Formats: sequence, C-alpha cells, structure tokens
Amino acid sequence: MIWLAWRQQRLAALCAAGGVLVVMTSVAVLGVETAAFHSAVGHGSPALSQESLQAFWNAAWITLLALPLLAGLFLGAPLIAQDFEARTYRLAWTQGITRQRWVTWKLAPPLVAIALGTAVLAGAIEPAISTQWTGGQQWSVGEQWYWFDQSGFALAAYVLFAVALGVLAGALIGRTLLAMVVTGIAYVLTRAAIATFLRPNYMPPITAHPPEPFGAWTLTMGFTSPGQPDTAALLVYQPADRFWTFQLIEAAIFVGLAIALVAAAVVVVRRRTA
Amino acid sequence: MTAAVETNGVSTRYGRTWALRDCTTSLPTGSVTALVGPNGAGKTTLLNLIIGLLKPTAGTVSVFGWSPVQDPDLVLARVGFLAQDSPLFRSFSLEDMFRFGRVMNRRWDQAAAEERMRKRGIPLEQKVHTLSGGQHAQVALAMALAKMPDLLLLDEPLASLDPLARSEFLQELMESAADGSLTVLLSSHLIGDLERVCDHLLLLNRGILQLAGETERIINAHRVLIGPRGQAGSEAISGVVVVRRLESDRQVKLWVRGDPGPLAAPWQSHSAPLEEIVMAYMANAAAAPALQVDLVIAS
Repeated sequence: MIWLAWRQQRLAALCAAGGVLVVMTSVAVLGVETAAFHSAVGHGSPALSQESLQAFWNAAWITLLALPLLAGLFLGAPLIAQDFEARTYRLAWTQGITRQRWVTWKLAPPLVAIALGTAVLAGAIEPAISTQWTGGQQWSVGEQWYWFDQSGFALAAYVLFAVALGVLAGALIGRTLLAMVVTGIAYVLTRAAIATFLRPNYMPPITAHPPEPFGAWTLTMGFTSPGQPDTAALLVYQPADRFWTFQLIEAAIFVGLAIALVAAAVVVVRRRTA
Repeated sequence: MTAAVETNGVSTRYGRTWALRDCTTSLPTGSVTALVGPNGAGKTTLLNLIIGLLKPTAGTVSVFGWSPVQDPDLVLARVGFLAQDSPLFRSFSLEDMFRFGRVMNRRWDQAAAEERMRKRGIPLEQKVHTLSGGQHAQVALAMALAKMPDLLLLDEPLASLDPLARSEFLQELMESAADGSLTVLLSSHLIGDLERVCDHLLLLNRGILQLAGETERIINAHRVLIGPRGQAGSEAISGVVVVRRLESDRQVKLWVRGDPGPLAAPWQSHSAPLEEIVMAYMANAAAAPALQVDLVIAS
C-alpha cells in the first residue's frame, strides 16, 4: 500500500524533497556567511557585504513564508482531488478494500513524510537564521520575532496545516485547480487572522517604560495620558524569552487545526457518493 | 437458483430528480444480465448502488446477502466492477496497474491477468495512456476478472469500442462466464450487442424498471400485431397491453404484451425479436403506468 502512495506521488515527492534540499542548503550557506561577516568586523573584509546579506536574508524570509503555502497548493490539494478529477476513484473504491483504508493509506505516507521533512528543514535552518542576531551588533532589535513565521515549530506546523487544508479542499471540491485556489485563500486568511488577533495575546503582554529590552516584540508604543504635560512614554511588549513558548502555542494551534482538517477529509471521502 | 443480487424498493434521488424509483428485482447466481435503457435511465445509478459507490435514498440492496453500505468489505471482495469509461491510472504501466490490483485485493490472480495480456499481445511495460480503446477496455476487464469475482458489474463497457473490439471484449467475457459460477450484469443503451450473450434482461426507463426476467420468457410474452389502418379491428383486440403503436400509411403495427388469441382476418400476429421489444418499451417512455410491473421476477 505504501507502494501505491509512492507510485502516485513520487513526482511531487521528488520535487518537494529537491526544493527542501535547495532551501536548506541556501539558508545554511547564508548562515555561515553571516557568521563570517560578524567575526570579520574590525579585522579584514567579509566575503559578502551587509547589503548583500540583507538582500539574501530578505529572499530567504519570503521563501520560508511562502513555503507552507506552496506545500499546501502542490502537495495537499492534488492528493485526493487528482483521483476525483481523473475519475479513478471509481477504480480505487471498487477494489477489495474499504474507502476508509484507501484514504488512510492515501494520506498517511505523504503526511508522515511531509511532517518529517519539514521537521528536518526547520531544525536545520534554525542555527543559520539565528546568526542574524546572535552574531553581533549590526542587526536591528527584534529580529527573532521578525522571523517567527519562519522558525522552528511554527514553520513545521504551518506546512502540516496548509497540506491538510489542501487535502480537505481537494476532497470537497474534487478539482485540483479550484482546490488550490480555495486552499490559498483559506490559508492566507487563517494565518493572518491568528497572527493578528490571537498571537499577541498568547500570554499577557508586559507594559513598561522605555527603553525596550533586547529582543522584545513591541505591540504598541504610547503614552500614559495622551495630551497631558506629565506624560511618560509606555511600551507594551512580549519579551524575548517568551519566543519559544509562543512558538509552541502557535504550533499547537496549527497542528490541532491540521488534525481536524484531515479528519474532516476522511469523513468527506467516506460519505462521498459517486 | 439463489440470488446474487437483490434489490428491494430501491429509490435514489439526486437533489429533486429521481434517478431510480422503487426498483425491486433480483439477479440469479450464474446469470448474464443485460441492463438496458436510454441515456439517463438509471443504469449507472443501479450499478453504483450494487457496488456501494452510492447509497439508496430508500430501499435495500443485498449482494450475496450482504449490504454494500453496512458491509462494504464483504461486498467489495466478491464483486468485480468496471466503471463507465474503464478508469485506469494514465501514467501507470500495465505492470503497475496489476500491482495496484494485487495490493488492493486479497484475492488476485496475477497469472491470469498477465496471460490475458499475452494473448492480446499487449506488453506489460506499456503505459496505460498509450493503449488503444480496445486494449484499454481489455486491461480494465482483466483487472476486474483478476479479482476472481463472483459478480461482475460492467457499466457501458462497449460504448467506446469499434465492432471488432466489441466482439473481442464480449468473447473474453463469455469465456470467463462460461463455467456458470460468475454472475454478470452489464449495461448498454443498445441491446443489439448483448442479445447474443445475455440470458436475462433488465430494462430501465426514466428510473423505472419496466422489464425484468429471462430473455426467452420476455420474448414469449410479447407479440407484434399488424393490421390495416383505420379499420375498427384494433379496438377489438383484447387481453393485451399495448406497449407501442406505430402507424404508417396503410398499416398499424402494435407491440403488445399478452396473448390476444385468434385474430380477425386481416390481422397478423407474430413473435418479436428482443431488440424490437426493448425498442418498443424505450419509445413508450414512461407513458403507460401499467407497464411498470416486473414481468418475470426471477426466483
């Protein structure tokens, strides 16, 4: 049965593995170059200028932001939709095994592979990403929070969520292209909503007077009593040491959503009529 | 003979349209049944209900005593299904297709499937999308037969085939059904091709089962009456149900069910070939409610 999953998905699997490898290597190299840049400050000239490094990191930032969405569109959406579109579900569902088993074997191998692949990717690029702020004084305060969506647990969870979204959209709609469009819209909206409304409040933020502590995520900057002469500046922020707690909370939310979406897709397949 | 398939008051509705209404019939084990009817008559719906791709809106289906809805694994294990257009994975080689069958089925006769391909001269390395229409259908049939099914369902298997491929396909099918343990139900919008190979007939029209039973008994139960037009004679014919009435310049031709007994002088009566009887029912559409009874319920 794993053979069937591989036989049907091998092109997508190889492309995904290739993509992950390229991203992983590029970010790792960028990390090495950034570290070299930091250690070269003051003694000698680094291979890449700060501007070039910034440009490369910007590209990496966008790539890693888009990565889960790409996985959802190209790995998730076609997974079940392709069998509906080619009408081969009528072949698959009339062999000797139940739909429940078919859908289990259809989804489990790619989902496990994707989970492992993203875990490896997220773990491998984390040290490289952190060279941006651990290295030295050249980088702006708050970099780590700026890379929240591209880091560790959250990145892996986003990928699983996007793929699960694609799977459900494909199972419901039955047409790959339309499922991809719906997946894209639903993914962006969900991510934006949670990042904007939920994430700042995972833990009660701290209110204090400036200066901002190193590595904090500033939510608002304001004044104690606006318009009054005795006002003092106030900051509302999440401190740096909460970063990984927030990562775990974010990841838990998206993994939970992913599990619910996959379960819904299984139900849709079981109930679907020809 | 026990029944391989029994349907009891089965109805299926898509939204507000009824695809099948109150269908009660049975297929005797070992029978080869033609399921005929015009497009949209409910043939695919009935086949999908038997294999469990659809759930009936009302009524029950039983396959060798099992419900395709409650016990899909028991039904799927014994039924070979060839869906409309014989879907196969386009990018697979035949080797891959048969491997698919092997992993998806507990019973699988790999040797028989390969032997069928060898006999047709189709190499196992060939990709599905490079097959001709006839070869495609042969591969799909080989897949369905390799399951070693007790019941074989075929949905319009001949629709896309040229006459030679049709005859080869039916030949292959008949050889497989020859020992009498395999029950076959195959649909077509034409009876012509199937008449030779079928011993039973189901006729669906607009979701209603109009005829069901042994082809021989159906033929025996119908007559064609021909008489002059405009003469009062036709009204005098009693004891029959007129299925179809066709008037030409001089003649009236009636396809009737039942025995009119001896007829007055100009009128002639003779038996009708199965194809004509089927055509008569199809042309009648669902106009005559009296025809909605099962003529011969096989028991």
